[in-house]
Amino acid sequence: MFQHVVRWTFMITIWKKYKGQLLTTIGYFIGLLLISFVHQDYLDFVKAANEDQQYVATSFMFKWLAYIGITLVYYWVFTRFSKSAESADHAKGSSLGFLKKYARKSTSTSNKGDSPLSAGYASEKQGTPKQAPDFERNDPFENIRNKSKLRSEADILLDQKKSSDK
Amino acid sequence: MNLKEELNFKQKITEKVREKAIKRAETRIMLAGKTAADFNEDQLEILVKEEEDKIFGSAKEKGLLVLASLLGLSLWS
Repeated sequence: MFQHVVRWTFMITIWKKYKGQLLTTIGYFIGLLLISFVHQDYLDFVKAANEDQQYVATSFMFKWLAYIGITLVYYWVFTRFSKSAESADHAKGSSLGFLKKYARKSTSTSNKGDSPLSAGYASEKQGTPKQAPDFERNDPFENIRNKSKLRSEADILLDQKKSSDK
Repeated sequence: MNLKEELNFKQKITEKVREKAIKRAETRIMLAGKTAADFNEDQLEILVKEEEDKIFGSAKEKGLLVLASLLGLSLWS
């Protein structure tokens, strides 16, 4: 019972997340199989009918061209699926949606806006020229996003101590 | 972008984890009733680092659980 639940949960999760990629891969393998079956059929036909074998070499060339073509198409479709999923993730994840919402809430509940965020929204409310709030203009996490390794509190303290010792 | 860059899974994973950590840090900041602009870069870095460590820790735990369930529950039979 539990085994089935785990199995299906796992499969459904994988399917939901990688549906596009899985379908593309299945399609790719089916395409490869079809090409090889068609080619095999042609070879069998040539053998059985004692046909002229001058096109056999060409058929192999076509087969491999089809393989390469289908592989290129597969690669293109696969990367398109991955990129679209990635951009959707990025759009969802990188925006400061939470903070925006919070800033709107704070301006609606109180008019005191000493933070740059609320100041941005307050100026918008008063009819001054539209100016994007600070977090939209400068992402505070931009530098952190580009760092190869982040420092913990201890690392930062040690760095500060080292620089003060010098 | 060449193939080598596209297949750089380690970098991709690191980027994804970093994004998730930043998202979690934003949530923490919001729950504390503050904004990211209230913190300096070092403080934000500490926050994101903490979240990143949590994500890696939970991934390791989950990996072990998945391994145990794969072995113990014979998922593929």
